[in-house]
Amino acid sequence: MASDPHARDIGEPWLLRLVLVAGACTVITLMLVLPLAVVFAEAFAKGVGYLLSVLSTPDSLAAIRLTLVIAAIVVPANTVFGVAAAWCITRYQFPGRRVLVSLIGLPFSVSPVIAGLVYVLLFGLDGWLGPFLQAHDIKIIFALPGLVLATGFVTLPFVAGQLIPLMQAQGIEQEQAALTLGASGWQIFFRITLPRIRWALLYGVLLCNARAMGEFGAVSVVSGHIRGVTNTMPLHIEILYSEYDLAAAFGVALLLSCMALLTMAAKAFLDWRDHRQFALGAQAALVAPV
Amino acid sequence: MIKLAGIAKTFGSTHVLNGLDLAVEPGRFVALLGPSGSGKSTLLRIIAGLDTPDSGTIVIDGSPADNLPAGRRRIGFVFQSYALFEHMTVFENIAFGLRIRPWRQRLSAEAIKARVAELLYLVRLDGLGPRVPGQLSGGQRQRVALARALAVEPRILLLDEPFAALDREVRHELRERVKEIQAELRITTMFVTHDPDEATALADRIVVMNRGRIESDTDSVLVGSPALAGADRDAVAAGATPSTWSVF
Repeated sequence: MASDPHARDIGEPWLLRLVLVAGACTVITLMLVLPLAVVFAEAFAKGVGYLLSVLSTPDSLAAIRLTLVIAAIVVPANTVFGVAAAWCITRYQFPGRRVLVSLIGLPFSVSPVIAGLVYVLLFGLDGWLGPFLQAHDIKIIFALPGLVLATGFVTLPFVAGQLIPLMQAQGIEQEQAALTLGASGWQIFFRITLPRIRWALLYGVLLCNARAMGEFGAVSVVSGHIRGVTNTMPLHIEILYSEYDLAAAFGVALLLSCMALLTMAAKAFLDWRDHRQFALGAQAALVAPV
Repeated sequence: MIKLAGIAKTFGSTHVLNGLDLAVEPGRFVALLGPSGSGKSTLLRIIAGLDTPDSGTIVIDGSPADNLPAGRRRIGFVFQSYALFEHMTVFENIAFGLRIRPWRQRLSAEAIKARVAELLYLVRLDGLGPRVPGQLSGGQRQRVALARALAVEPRILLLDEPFAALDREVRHELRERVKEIQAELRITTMFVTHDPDEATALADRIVVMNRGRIESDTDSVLVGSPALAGADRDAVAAGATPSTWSVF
């Protein structure tokens, strides 16, 4: 990266550099670029017409719709939760604070399949709350609520995980300054805290969204794979694939990948913007009179 | 008038303040002098309402302030790090306290503009309103913090190590500015420092703290200084006993 001002020549021999760069490029090509290229190639293998017909079957449309509905519920819910949790953890001292931080990170370390199973054991027919739920005619497992719960569990750490380290580093002095100037709690949140965390928040929301749309394991356990009803896009892809309808599977996969690529592009834009702002800030600081 | 009685504060097993009593007359410029860990910053934060004491009472201008939230004490606070709102311009920083008032008590946009211009002149930063804090030097940042605290016309001004982060030359210049401003506004001011020279240069009363207690309390007012004349008048008007100044 010759254009990166932070990169420094620390004097390795050129041969070593060449080997390292070539190695990195090979790995990235094999593991990231080629698979993505395969998705595109396979999706278009039977032509654009076939691709469109696959995407417009009732089952595909239902899967796309379900995935969007789940994301539309889970992402805002986890955004609110993440901000609230980060606020509590970084702004207050209370017993169990550290435990809470670890708990929020738990979904990252637990296999999604286990997350799904836990909900089945809790809300399923034979589960702890099963008889109660059945008596009151509430369906959670093999229905939308279960899919939302499982997706929400898996994506729980994204927003809070982005915000907690940032808000810890920022400290609370600006908020306290606003407090002494007479600001209310909401004024402090909307005028001081939120503007300072907005880019990290957006970043967390994007990651949360990407995962919410792409989650397979946890969702697979609680879904029941009812076509057109509880099949999300990743589950739909798997079914099509196991039925040897490769072009259809890759067609839906293409759409899902495009959603992910869009997220990546938005994330890259944020990174670029942050970098640029930092550079501008540094420049401005240099020309400021002392 | 600030009256503190029996203020105590512990953090964990450390006694930061041990039943401290202190009364400050209106218009005075008080230095809280002491080594780090002597409890002076904590005392300042308790007066501002940013920390709650474990026991003791605070009375400001005759009414108890113990249960008054920080936002309603009308106390200006300048943080050691200045705590400027980095995402706002200098103008927006200073106008913040005026703009967040409930709309019935809020000044018009023009009045706020005029008030900010006045404050920028007071701290000698005319024309820097459109800058953002990232473009300012340490001394300029400190003056923005001061102007921001003064914007809401506080009853008391508290400064936590206001000059600690500045280099020598800027520090001396700013001391003079702060002293002039205090004399001009005659606002009751308390500041924390660990530099005895700074305390004598600025304050008309020096309270030396050590281990959460007041070790000594000295008036260092020069007779006839404008700060004293102002303070004296105000104190008499407020009905304070003049006994503290009988030495003069």
